[in-house]
Amino acid sequence: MSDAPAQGPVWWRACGGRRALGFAVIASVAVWLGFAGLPVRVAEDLVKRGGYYVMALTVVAWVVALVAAFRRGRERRAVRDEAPVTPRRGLGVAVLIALLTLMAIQAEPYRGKILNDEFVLQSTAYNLHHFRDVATMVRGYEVEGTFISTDNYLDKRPYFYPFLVSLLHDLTGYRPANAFVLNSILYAFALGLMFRVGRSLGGWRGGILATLLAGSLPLLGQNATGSGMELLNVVMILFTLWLGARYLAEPDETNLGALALSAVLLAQSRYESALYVAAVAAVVVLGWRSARRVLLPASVMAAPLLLLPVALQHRVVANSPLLWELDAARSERFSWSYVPANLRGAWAFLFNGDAERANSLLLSAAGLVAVAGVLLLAARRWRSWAQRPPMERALACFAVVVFANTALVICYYWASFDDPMASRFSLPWLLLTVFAVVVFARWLDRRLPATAMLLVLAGGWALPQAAAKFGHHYYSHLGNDEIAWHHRFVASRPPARRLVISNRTSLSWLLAETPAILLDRARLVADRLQYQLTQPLFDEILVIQALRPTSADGDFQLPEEEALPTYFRTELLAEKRFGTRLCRVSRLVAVELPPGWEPALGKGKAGSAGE
Amino acid sequence: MDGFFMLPPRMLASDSRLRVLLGTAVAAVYLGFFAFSADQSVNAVIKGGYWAMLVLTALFVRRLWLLAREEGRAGVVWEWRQWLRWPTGLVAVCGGVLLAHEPYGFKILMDEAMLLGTSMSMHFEKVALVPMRGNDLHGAFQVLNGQLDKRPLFQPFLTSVIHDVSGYRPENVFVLNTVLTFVLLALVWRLGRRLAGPAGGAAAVLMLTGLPLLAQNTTGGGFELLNLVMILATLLLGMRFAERRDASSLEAVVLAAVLLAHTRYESVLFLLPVAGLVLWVWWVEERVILSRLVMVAPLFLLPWALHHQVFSLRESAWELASRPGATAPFSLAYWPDNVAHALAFFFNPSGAQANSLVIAVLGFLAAPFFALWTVKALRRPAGVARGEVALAWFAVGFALQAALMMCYFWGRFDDPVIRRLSLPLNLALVIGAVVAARELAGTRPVKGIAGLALVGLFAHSLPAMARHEYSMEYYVGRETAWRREFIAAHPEKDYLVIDNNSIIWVTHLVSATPVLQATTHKENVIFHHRNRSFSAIYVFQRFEVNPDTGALTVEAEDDLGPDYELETVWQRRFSLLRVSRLSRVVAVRDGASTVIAAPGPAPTTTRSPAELEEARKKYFETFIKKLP
Repeated sequence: MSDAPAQGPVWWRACGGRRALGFAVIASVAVWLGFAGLPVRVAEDLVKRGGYYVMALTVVAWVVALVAAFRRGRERRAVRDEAPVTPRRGLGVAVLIALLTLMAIQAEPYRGKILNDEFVLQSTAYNLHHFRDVATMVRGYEVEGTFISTDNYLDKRPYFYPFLVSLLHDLTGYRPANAFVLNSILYAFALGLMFRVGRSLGGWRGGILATLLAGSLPLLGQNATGSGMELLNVVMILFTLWLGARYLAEPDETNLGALALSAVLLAQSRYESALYVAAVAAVVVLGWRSARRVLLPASVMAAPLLLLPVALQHRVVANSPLLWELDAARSERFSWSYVPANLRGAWAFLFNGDAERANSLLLSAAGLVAVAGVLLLAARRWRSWAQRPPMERALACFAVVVFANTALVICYYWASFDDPMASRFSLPWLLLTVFAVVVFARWLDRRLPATAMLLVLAGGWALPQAAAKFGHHYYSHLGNDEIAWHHRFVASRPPARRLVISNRTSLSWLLAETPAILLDRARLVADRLQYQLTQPLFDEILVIQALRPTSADGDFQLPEEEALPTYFRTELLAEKRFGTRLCRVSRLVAVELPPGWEPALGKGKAGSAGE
Repeated sequence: MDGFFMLPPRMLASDSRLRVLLGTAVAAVYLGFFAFSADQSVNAVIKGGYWAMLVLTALFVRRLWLLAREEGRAGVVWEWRQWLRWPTGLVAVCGGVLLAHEPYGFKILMDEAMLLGTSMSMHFEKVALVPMRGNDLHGAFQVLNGQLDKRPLFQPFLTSVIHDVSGYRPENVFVLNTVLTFVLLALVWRLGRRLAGPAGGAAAVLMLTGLPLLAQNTTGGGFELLNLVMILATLLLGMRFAERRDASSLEAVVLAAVLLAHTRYESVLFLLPVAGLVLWVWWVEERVILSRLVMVAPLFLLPWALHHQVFSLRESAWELASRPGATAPFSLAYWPDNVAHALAFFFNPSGAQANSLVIAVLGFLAAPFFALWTVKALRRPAGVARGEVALAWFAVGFALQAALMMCYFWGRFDDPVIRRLSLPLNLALVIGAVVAARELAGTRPVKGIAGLALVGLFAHSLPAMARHEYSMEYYVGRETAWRREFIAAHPEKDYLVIDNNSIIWVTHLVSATPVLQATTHKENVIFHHRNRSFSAIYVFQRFEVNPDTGALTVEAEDDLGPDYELETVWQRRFSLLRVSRLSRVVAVRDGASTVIAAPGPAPTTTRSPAELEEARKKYFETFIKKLP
């Protein structure tokens, strides 16, 4: 269709003619609708109720486009920038990836790593699976045998990852472990893509080097046993980069369609990954130049509309300061004032020599040198830019965005990489350094066996060091140990209908279809809890708290935020130390409300429906 | 062999590569034994042992890979065809038989626990230490201190690689030994086939399968299996070198010998036959065959030499105290007694000694013939197949190893802990029987041996394996299994155990400390008991049973004293007059007062986050200092 010659003046044809005009109109409408045209409440409702279907449409279109692109590539024996993989080498790479994946998966139990990110994502997946709502649970109860989300909200996190988890739920039945399974699969995919891109950049050895450098990065491996969206983001960046290179090698509508839809999904993999749309736009324009015409297949035309939920969600988040999670001392999410501390944190993380951080010293050091080296090389070879291989040109476009992404993160209020909660923000930068090392080592190979030396260092030093870090995984003990124990303990008790009053998060319980509220709420609804103790709805109400030391000798106390008023009577069931905290699970025995006690929520009759 | 011993000086004068080899050998001896103090040597092994093993293993694997490539597709296909018939089935079935009769477990204390401990530190810290104390501090189990064990590092290194790939679990050592069982039988079959055709392979495999001692070790956590595998691998590579006489074969046999030296203490002896073989090939070829790697190979033994300094640093490493009256680790004076015990082991008919009567009878009958064949092969190498000269040299190695064992203060083969030291000699007897049978009248007697081995397997070995009295009589091994049952029954691993054998707990990621620590630093136990740092504090103790009254008396070394109030949790009688008990500490008396685990929190007082953080830091400091 679009191969037909456009009609009209030369300038009109050069600009893509009517299709380009149509694209401009669609994009303008999408921008207006996304950022200004709709009230926030409407935007929220639209994303909550319609987000799933737009995502499903995008994914289906993407899969169709990929099939078409690969089929076409096979038919044409697409321009290859390297020799085909021999079966023996292919088997070797498969074994290497399998071993690296096993190493990461076996090192840690399947467990959320980042509190509450991963529970929120899983909760969204729960609602997508059960109700097709892009929403996160606040409260949920079993009503007539069905566990229903009774209170929810549109979260700030993009929902491509929850969508894929919900797809797994759809196909295999609901279980929270599906999120971990997905990430384990994505980890192997990520390593495979590292090899593929590395091979394009540095040949066979370059591919192996990229795989080893990525496989020896504990920060990446940590996510293989988590339920976060980082690995999906990595996979989508790498896959989109590879599709970009394919498109530059063969700029046609089929390849462009796959690339454009991949970019749409990448934008919905992590908050800041929307930036990569700019990199893809640059690749698209480079392809137009190579093809000497403007290519605008239907998928590109539709892309702005498919991105509409991203804009609407952004609008909702921008108008919901509660979702920014700012602490009392800060009022802005992004500021230059955060840069010095974040840069110090980045240095401390990247060049940390002990086992407590999930960094790779080899990658950080070699990567920094290689990035500088590649920048110098790029400056020297600027004039021959157009003659560089497609993967290098695509990587250059993505590299600019990775720099921008990293710069943006460095201006974020909670982005000190040496904070285990924020280390993951360094992943795009670390991916870039992997490829910089491959490219720079290949250039150095003319003078010394740099790639071979790096292979020995990566396999013989960085990988064993990573295995030790995987073994300890100090960086993963961020509060989730406690939650895992709470669940193990409750599972060890006889089957019963329970309400859990939690000190950390209610989400982990809601995901297990166990009603749960936070301690704060329990104080507010003491009358309802008193009422429930008289009713057979819950067989037991459990209270989860943690004692903290108040002196060098211990003298453990419940901190104020975790202490329940004295009229709550509890009976201790179990206690376990985590670091210096003593976590305890108790059973609520009685609520003896003092005279004159007034409910703070829903002043109706206790036990009646209310807030 | 005329002029054989004049060869090195003559070559030395004419070949610069040989001078480099000599230089590295001198450097290795100087650096290994004289340049550093014992402390420095031990520290070097602690920090560098893992990396040395990694490099040596990588070089060996690479060399094997290159050898396979040299063989070419035709060679590999031919080898596969040999295997695709009944040998694969034979090895699989025999391996299964060896593994079927005993549960996996740590059979020999402290050997296997120490090896596991070293593998644990190699995995977690990349250092060669046995963890002596360890605790869960911030969710991750951290080793707080340890010491370099005297045992060589190759087996712990291989176990640590499995930990690296599949995650840390003590049972990984059983995975390693299971794999090694099949590798061992495959290598035995290959050697037997080379010596006496397929019948020889079958005879050797069946004879070894009928050795209950081997079955005991295949399901244990020791390094005996690896030692046998490395002996056979070195022998087979030596045979290849004797045939091919090229640099790549030399590299392979040298690297195998170096790794063998890092497998068991006394296996370093096999360097002598390898050196003899190499010199013999040079002499026959009238040229020096050397590669760059072999030129620096003496330096590969540096870790062994430095590691050996642990015996200078810790006299107790020889464990002389375990044999009253022993004054030196090795002496000819031990010979008569040890020989008597060896005969008692080899010819025990009851099956209680883990011996194989078939191996003993046929092996010792064949021994004089095998010795004569060895002398003949060394004196007139042209009279035997090229590769078999290597076997003759290795026969010398086996003899040296056996002689050394007979001079060892604790070299009684009928002792439950020592039996395993006879494994190389058992292997030598198997090889000797096959060679002697072949020399007598070709393959028919070899087939006869195979038949006898099969009969012996069913008549004597399998019932012995089924009963495995030899494992059961060593009650310490059963006690270790009982501890592991306790660990399995308490999966949270959030408790402290006071036990003189703390290493087995620590290697299972359970906090543990010896009894002496708990009695001399009672205040530390009190601190953690009061603050509920551990969900419980358990004590492992042994009691002697009074045969007249049945009264139990705690053994002196396990006695915690009157200040600890204990409550029995698990108890089992492992031998007639000995009871083992796991108790829970209920309270600890501190002078006049009694400390129990506090039942609840102090009343909440208002504190700022900064105050709480300050208190946390102070408490954590005290917490670490007070860890028992």
